Amino acid sequence: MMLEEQAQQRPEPSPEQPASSRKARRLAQVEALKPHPSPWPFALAASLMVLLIGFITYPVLCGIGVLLTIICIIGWSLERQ
Amino acid sequence: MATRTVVEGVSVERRKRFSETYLGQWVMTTDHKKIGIMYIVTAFFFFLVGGTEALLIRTQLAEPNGKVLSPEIYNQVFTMHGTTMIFLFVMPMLTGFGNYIAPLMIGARDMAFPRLNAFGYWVLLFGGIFLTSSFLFNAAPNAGWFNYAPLSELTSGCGATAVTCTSGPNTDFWALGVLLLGVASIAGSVNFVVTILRMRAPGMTLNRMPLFVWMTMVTSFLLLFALPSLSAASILLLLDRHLGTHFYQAAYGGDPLLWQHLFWSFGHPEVYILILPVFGMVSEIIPVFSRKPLFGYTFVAWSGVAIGFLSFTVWAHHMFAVGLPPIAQAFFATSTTLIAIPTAVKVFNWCATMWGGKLILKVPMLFAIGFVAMFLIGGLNGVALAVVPFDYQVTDSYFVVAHLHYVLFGGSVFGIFAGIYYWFPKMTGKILNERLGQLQFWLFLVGVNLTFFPMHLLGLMGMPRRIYTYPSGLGWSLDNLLATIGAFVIATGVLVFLFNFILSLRSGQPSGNDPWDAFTLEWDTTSPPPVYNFPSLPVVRSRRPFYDKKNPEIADWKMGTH
Repeated sequence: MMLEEQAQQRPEPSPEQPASSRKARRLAQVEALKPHPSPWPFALAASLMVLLIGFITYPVLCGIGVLLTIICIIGWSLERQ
Repeated sequence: MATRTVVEGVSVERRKRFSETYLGQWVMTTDHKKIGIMYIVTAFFFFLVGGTEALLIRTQLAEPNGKVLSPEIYNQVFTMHGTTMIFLFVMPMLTGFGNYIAPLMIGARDMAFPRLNAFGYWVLLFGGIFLTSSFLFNAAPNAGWFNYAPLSELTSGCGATAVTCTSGPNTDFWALGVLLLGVASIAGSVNFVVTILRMRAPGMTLNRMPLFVWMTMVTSFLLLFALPSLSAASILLLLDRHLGTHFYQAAYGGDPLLWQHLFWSFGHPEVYILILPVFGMVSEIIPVFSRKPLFGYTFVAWSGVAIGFLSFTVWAHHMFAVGLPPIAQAFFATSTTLIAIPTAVKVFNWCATMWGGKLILKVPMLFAIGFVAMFLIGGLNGVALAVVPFDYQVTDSYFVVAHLHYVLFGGSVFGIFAGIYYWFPKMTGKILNERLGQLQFWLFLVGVNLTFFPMHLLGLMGMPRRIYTYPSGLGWSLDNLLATIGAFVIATGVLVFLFNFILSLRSGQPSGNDPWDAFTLEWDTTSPPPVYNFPSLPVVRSRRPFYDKKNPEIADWKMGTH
């Protein structure tokens, strides 16, 4: 409801601005406020689980888990938000 | 950026990314609302797992000389019942509510660290799968949810004395599982603290913050300070079991009591972690359904802080029977009695809020009032346990089981269901069926008292905890049978809730944005809220900002109240 009221109260767009750029700006506003999806939290959690399973079962899984954890930490750090 | 108004435009057609598919939206989400829902659904699944374990326990104990479970399986079942309910149900359920509701209540668009938020959830899920999968290896943890040394100790050989040991990987599952779950809790706590301290809407001072947010913040600090103790204890135990150290082995100069001190240094703050957010929920629900502001807001808020500090000074009341020096016992008995005071302050304030109010006895309010009554019983028998000579008689008996279940089931679970019925409309846009909710409430109330009240008597008659059966002729049979019947009454209540949940989700009555005519900011947006939470960030001038917006002539800030 509030969005409709705001739409009604919004001043008429300037005729010099093309409609497509106004739409793009509005989309950019909503997109900028959305939380960005990321695979790294899931991947890092899964890596930690592989590491723990290795403690109980096969030690080689511990090594794989450590490697995966390092990869995920690096990927997380380098991800652009 | 903070005051920018959102205007939605027309979407542009393009190829869907994985993050935009149904699965991808959940796996890759960093939206606090989706993460909150995942926490709540996962926690509820583990509630069913822990509840099934409880029914197995009660079935085994319904009659003397029970043969439903072998002693070895019984040990695994009661250990996993406690571990599951505490680490995989109550904690994640409260974290889920905090995740969903707290940013909305403070007028924020999301948590401070969205990816860390998601990480906390996935670690919880994998930790829960890891712990529960131990049953598949017939190696579920079996030394009790507090996993005392030396029972949880050695993997091979038993040292110089004949001590029963846990030679399988059972304890390893427990220690590694709680380490992983601790990582999840720390991630969540850091996020909550920063979000609450740094992302409140303009005008929302600490003095105007909703009490659920206050309690979530105190709980987060408790987690940050208490979990290192558990992590250290678990690591030392793993070192003892696998690398030949002797931290907990008396025969080699170690001390089994070290485990108890380290564990309960976590374990007692832990029980306040399990209840403080529920105090916050109830502090939101009671005023709305009494149509009055909360009585004594400042006292309720700061009593929560007091409980947080005091919770670190009482841990050895779990250890009165281990041979502590009298001066230590006196200290811990005093501090334990003292911590009852801020809790009582809250109870008085909730009652004072209801006094003179126009009570609306909808299901959230029924559960909230039920919480106050049941938690009061649990608190009173807890204060009795603070008296050292009395504790000598009943420690490790069913009296303690009665106490902990009154505060955890009668307290936490009742409060959780109050929160579920209260905030379900916000999360889904539908309202849970009122009649089915009332049926569930009464089944729970009867079931809880039928299950756990007889346990007081069992404890006083000498029935120890964690025994897998008992002989006839001790006078324990009737109370055990009543407790088992009560457990199945509770189970019926859970089934009623499940039916209500599915029915309401599919074809429930639409709730609108504000079905309860509530006071706080989460109701000032659509149900469910959009991804950005609020079209424009609110400005807060009192403790009831949404009430002020709906009633501008009699707004709290105009009337001189907060």
